[in-house]
Amino acid sequence: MTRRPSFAVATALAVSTFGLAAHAVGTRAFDLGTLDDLSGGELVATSVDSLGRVRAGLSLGTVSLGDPSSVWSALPLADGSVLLGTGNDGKIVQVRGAQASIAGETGQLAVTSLTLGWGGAVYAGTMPKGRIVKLEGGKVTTFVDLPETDHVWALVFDAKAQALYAATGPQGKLWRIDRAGAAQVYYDADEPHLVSLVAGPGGALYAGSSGKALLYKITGPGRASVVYDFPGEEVRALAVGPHDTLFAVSNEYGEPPEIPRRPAATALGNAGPVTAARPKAGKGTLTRFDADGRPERLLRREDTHFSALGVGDDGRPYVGTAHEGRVYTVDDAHTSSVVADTDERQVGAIVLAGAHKLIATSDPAVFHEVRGTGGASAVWTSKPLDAGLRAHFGRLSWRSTGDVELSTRTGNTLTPDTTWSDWSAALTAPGVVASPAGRFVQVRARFARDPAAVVSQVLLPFVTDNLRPVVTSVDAAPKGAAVPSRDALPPSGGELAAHTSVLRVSWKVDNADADPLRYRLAYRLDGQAQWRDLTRPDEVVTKTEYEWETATLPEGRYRVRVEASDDGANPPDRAERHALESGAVLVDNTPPSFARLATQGRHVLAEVHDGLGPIARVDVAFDGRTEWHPFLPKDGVFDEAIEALDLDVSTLVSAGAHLVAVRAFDQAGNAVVREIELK
Amino acid sequence: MRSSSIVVAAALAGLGLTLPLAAPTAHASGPGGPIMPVSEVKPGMKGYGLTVFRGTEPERFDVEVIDVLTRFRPNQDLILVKTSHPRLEVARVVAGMSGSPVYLDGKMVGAYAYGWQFPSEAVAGVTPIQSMLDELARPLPPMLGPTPLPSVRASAAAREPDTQRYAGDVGAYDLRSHARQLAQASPALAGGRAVPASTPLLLGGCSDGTLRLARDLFEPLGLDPVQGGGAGTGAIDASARYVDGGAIGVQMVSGDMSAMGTGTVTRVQGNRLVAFGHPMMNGGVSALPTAVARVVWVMATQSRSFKMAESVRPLGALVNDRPTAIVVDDRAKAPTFPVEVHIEGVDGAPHPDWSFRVAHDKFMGPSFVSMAIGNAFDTTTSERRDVTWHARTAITVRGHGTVTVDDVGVSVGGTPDVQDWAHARAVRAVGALLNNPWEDVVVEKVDARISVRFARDMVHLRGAEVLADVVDAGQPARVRLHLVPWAGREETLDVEVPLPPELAGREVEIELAPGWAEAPELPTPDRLDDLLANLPRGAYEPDTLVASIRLPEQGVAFRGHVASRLPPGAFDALRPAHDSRAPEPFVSYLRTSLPLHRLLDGKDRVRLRVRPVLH
Repeated sequence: MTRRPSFAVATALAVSTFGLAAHAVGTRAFDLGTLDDLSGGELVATSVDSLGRVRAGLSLGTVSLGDPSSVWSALPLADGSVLLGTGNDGKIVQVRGAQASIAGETGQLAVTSLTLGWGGAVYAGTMPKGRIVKLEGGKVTTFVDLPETDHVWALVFDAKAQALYAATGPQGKLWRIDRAGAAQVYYDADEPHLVSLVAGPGGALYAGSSGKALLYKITGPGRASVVYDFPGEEVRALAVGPHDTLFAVSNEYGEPPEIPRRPAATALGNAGPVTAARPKAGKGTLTRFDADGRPERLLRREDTHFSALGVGDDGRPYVGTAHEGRVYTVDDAHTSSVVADTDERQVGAIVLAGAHKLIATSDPAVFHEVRGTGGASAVWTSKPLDAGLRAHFGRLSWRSTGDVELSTRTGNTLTPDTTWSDWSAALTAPGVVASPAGRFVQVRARFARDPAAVVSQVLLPFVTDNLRPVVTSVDAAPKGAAVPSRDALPPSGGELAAHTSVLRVSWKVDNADADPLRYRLAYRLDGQAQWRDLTRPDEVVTKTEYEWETATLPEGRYRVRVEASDDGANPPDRAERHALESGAVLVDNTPPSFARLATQGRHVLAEVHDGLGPIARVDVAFDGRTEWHPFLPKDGVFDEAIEALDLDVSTLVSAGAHLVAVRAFDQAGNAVVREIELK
Repeated sequence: MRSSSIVVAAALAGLGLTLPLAAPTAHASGPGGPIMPVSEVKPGMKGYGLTVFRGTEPERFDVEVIDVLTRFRPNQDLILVKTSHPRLEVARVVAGMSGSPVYLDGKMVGAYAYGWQFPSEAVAGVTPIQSMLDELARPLPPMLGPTPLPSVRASAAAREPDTQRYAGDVGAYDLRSHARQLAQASPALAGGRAVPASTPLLLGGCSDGTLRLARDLFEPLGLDPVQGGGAGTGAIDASARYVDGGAIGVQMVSGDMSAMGTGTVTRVQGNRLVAFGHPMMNGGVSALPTAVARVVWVMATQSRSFKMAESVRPLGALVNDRPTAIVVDDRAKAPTFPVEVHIEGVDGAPHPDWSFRVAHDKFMGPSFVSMAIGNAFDTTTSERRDVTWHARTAITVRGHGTVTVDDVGVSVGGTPDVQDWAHARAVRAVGALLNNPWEDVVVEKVDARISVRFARDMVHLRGAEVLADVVDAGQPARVRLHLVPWAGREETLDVEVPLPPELAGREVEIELAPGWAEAPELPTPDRLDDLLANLPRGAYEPDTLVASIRLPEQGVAFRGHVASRLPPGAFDALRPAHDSRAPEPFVSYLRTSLPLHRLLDGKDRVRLRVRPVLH
């Protein structure tokens, strides 16, 4: 969503990630125009692209897989069913129509990969014992236990070479296995894991590693070259595209959260809920390599790493995210689209080519059959848009090709619930929103009437309630000096700030609706009733401070009044204002004077007078030096406009004649200096 | 100083006054004669009691009611009586006479159950019979064949709270903690000072160390272990039956060692009887073997007198252990399992093989396994020499095969204390299995083979150094160990620790520790099979050094599986956010076990850098 030029809106109440644009005084708008704006809500059989267009997307069926929590691999079979390799109980689930059943149990933690092999048998790679099992005739048998291998991450069957290749970890080995189950190391990488594998153009194998995220091209036993060194840690998935292209998904994870060392007794204790911190989502990148091996980055997401990759019948890559369970695609022009938005956390497998198209997700494990594009259920729903305050909504507008129906609903909770209004009657053309006033609003678009329709530039103006700004404090201090704390004692002693006739008036305002404010200042002498304008009538003060030149004012104690008003952003009948006056502010621009200054032995006798008082400090320096020594008055406290002092300087100067400079300050920092000779 | 606290149930009888009685037997079904409610008991009433002072025949002792203490326990009165019998003039209050029936006006009024320590007169407390009969009438889990195994086979409907089960993670099973839990859970024993009823637990074939361990474990439960001998040589009188006033034993271990809780039958009704007049361990529904007992002698002491007895005929089982009585069914057969101990390496030992049968009980089982192994070891190897030993214990569980656990140790200057066996892995394994929360198990056999060397066969890890602090990727780290034997000069041993190539460019820390102190990563068990799989893997081979290197990858453990060194994407996929029944994450370590052929003591760590190598 773009942010229109004008005032920025960031109310104290608003938590929306959307910017809000202003059209006129008090009127703002939700402007949904980017992929992130439009994909923040719910996409049911709809798609949003990076050009801000919403259209019909993949229509998904839903079959819950029950006990499994994750899907790692998918294999459509010729009979129309689909096998899914799942975790965390190592089951192979078969989905036929809307029914899921257990086709085999491997006894392992997860079935990470599935492929058809010799004689149409299904071969499944598992973890964590490095086992490949064969599923044939409804029976699971161990095909091979790979030595020095814990995890089988990917399988590729090469019918021509009559070999099954297995990418494994944690020794980073690529195994070649013959029909009898005899395994040989085909390539031994320096990386701990080879996590992805694909048979590429020209008979070469491509393997992606975990560790330094390397893409290997393996052309024969022990013969490999690194095609690309990706940033990050992992080349999670590979797929062959049209025209001898290769798609690669790589991920950057960063440092995982620290896991406390597990006590050995845990292994014999009773299992309980696991609440250890989860790592943050990483960053995912989709890269295309052309037939000459030249890379081109097609898609990058900073908010999620990718967990699955498939190539569609249209030749485009489809990547599944590991966060929020979405499927993105990108075209040659780098226009990316969200084509599916599932309720699950991760996409585990994508098959969008061939007769059986599916998206399988994890956490929880769900099988989504791709039924087509659009349909009666194709609905795009925005995320709840937060106006910050109760708002009245104006004319909902959008641009579209084809027939779509838009409607709205409103409420006052961040998450829509039963207190929200019903969806408004559908608008087939831009029109005034019929939903009642509310802080939150959602916009919905239906594509049932025209699967080819495209919607873009959804704009929803609104005006929020105008709340009165409240001035909560007004302070004044000499320019350059800190405003004295209201809660703590002032410092004891020390140098006084240099006098200035300029006072800095500052104030705080509670402006709940964050509309622009204008301030007007006035002052009066303490004890008088008449306020005098401090700001000119045409002077627009929008900052919460003001410098006040007091040199021409009679000395005395003043009060300053600050009035806040939002009349600059609201019509007169809606404008609100509030004023607050300060405490007494001292205006004193005249220094004190010495009524008496004399010496008596090693004592300096002085009497200092000030107009408003009190005297704040008296100190002395000797013989032209700038080291000043403070003294207290005779009565011990500087608290009056006239103070008498008897300064015993015998401990500060040696015997003999000295020139003594005596300096006196008043409370406003005005100072006077006189000299006297000490004999 | 004499204590004012109440002790063991007691009964009094006239020494030498043998009065054969036509007491009903367990097979002589019937009401067992009239009973007198407490409300009819008055001070000064006189009557008699029945108990066995010697042999198997009950004798009379005289009784005079002092008064009735109302609400002595919750909903239970206590009748205070004076007793007289020539033997009780000496013994005063006798542990083991708990349950002796008391009659007034020819009606059974209750059972002797309580006494006071250091008594100066023969005064005891009588538990009213009605309170005991209430327990007899309490429903029990259905009998299945000759073996009730209430804790094993009880139907869900009839099953009662399992008061004997260890409360806590099975992996943290500890025999002493289990004993403390049971002691705290026993209302009759809570607080200790107020009413510490106890039952003499007569131990036969035990060393002093075994007796100390028994006291540690059982005294807090109200049992009073005493060296009694008489392991029970078999049926002296195969026709022996339970009779009112007859001696009864609860046989918790038999064979080369015996342990029998001794008391007196109060009342036989059909195939069941009540005895003791107080709980044995207040364990509720139980399954402990019982036997008709023969009293050898009433030992009189100042602090507490007790009956010395032995079993003469195993018969029935204790099926319910309640605050006012134990309930025994003579048709029931309590499960036991054999414990065999074979000790090698003690030349000329006359008795290297030991054989026991231990009650199949959640607490008694591991308790007597520890005592049996410890007793056999202590007795066979008793020497004032250093001992190095390695016990390999095979535990056979019905339907689940056999698991083997290792215990090792070095004892300086003599045989290790029997009490150390309470913490042995073998004992903890038996305890974990019997107390597992998933399913009831039947332990079929425990077979411990202990090899002994009279030597301090251990070296201390004085320190370690890397021979090169920078190592090329793919090459192993070479570490020199400085080992100090018990006697002799410091030795050095160079070992190689493999380093995975992915550590290239990293600083690496290698932790060095004895194999017996290091465990591989194991999954938290979710079922019995998981626990069984984990038990043998609780440590590396004891005579090895384990080098552990922390790896950048993480792993998970879940439902019997351990997946270590996972790529971050797989690690994320394995851990669902929607379900807390998720794999447990752990830091991956590469552990290498290096044979030392000796036990090691001490730990150390060394650091080095792995240099990337350009090929």
